[in-house]
Amino acid sequence: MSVAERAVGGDTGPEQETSDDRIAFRCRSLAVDLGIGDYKRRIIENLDIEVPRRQFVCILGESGVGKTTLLRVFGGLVPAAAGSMLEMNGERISGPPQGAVFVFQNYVGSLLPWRNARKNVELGLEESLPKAERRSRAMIALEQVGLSDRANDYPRQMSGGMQQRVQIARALALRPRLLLMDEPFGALDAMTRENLQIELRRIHQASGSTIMFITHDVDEAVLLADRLIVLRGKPAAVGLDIVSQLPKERDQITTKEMPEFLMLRHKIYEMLRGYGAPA
Amino acid sequence: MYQRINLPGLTFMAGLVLLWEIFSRIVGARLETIPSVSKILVALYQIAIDGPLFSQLIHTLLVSIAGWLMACAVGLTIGLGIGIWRPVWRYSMASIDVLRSIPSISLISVALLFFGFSSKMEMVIVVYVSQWPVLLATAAAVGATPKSYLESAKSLRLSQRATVLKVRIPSALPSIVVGVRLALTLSIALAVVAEMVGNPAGLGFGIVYAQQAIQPAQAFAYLLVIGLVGWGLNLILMLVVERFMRNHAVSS
Repeated sequence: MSVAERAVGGDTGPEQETSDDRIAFRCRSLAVDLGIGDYKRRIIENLDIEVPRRQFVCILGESGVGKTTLLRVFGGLVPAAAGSMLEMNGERISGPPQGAVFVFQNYVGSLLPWRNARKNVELGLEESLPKAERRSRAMIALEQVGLSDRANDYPRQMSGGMQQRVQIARALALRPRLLLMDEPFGALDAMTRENLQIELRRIHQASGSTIMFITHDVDEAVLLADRLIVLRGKPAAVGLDIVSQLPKERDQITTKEMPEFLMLRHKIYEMLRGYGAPA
Repeated sequence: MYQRINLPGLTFMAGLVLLWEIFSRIVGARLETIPSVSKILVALYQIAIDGPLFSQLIHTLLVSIAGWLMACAVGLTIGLGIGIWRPVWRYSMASIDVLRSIPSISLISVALLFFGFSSKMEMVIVVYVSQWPVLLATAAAVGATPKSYLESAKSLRLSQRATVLKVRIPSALPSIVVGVRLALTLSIALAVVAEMVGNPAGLGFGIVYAQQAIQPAQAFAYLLVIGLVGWGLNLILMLVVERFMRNHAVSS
């Protein structure tokens, strides 16, 4: 039962800067402000995270702590405050970073209803690839999520789980280095969610992209993650940062019976409950 | 939507027609201003066979359709400009709100001053009045693309141009279609009104002529034709829209 635990909020990575090939994503003393003028509030302060390539990171925290905001900063949809440093693959970023793609929780508002599944997946490729190539890439991505036989269906003809898989395929088709997922399974029913969790884990193993995954479901986080980060505080900072020792292959039954699973679950619940509880 | 014939609806309509026939034969026989349905049909037959109905119908159809197409082109172009560029919106919306509030009929007298009793005047009125719904629907819808679509486009690194062409305009299409339908109704109505008070041609002139000649059956026959024109053009438009926009979930 070995869990490598890192110091809270500590700076753990090697001190040699930027050109570290193993690091996919790095942020240092990240701060985020939301609102303008008198309504400006600091949401996140002094956050240091360093994510190695191919790692599956789950970010947890009680609702309102700033998980989604953090992910949106990583995706370039929200600017970081002055003094923050954000790097992807050794390059500083400000706008939407090259090689990072978002998967939103709201698949209904994210897929374009006038495009069929394949055309939706092709959307991000149309400006860079010729027709035949983007078509084959889209079909590969749809196959990765098990929807190659639904390529010509429109979103409204699909179940919620399928639509979310189309959105994941749309992200995968870009061959992203970093996949940013904001509670992607939050709006799905329990059965669909469980199937998609295992599928996502399999896709991650096969594709080799780095994943940052936000959820408020502790079991989901422990089941999926190579590493778990709990945000806490106001403004939020890293409260807990654990690397999971669970085997790479996961499934819904046996993984959840492992002592490591229960231990991680316990630690995270403690961290989530411990903060803000009446003294 | 239009594939099946609405039998109860047709029966009800036939009932109304029958009631009119009975009513006009009882009351209308004394008043002479309420012609029976059969008299209207006879009058329709007469103006169609040796009257000017056919050429008048063509005139009104041409003006309404041409005016409507021009109104769509103008409304779409300006509406897109206003919807896409925020500053354009800020500078122009106040003027647009004032201009479009001017009752359309009152413009006819001004148009008469400029263009005289002509088809040119009729066209100008039709285009000017019918472009508003297209312009406003386009500007509002293109300016209010759902945030989730825009964020998807941003995350997929779509260029500004691609975002407008592939996301903002398609997502605005259902609203634009509503504007385009309103414009069609308006262009027919305005063509007829302009013909009644300004340009001595078309169905509008025909109805005024019948009224001045105290031919109520003929006037009603013209009304029937105008109604059918509006209904038919709208039906064709909706069939086209349905054919090409099946996946936009447009409701009639």
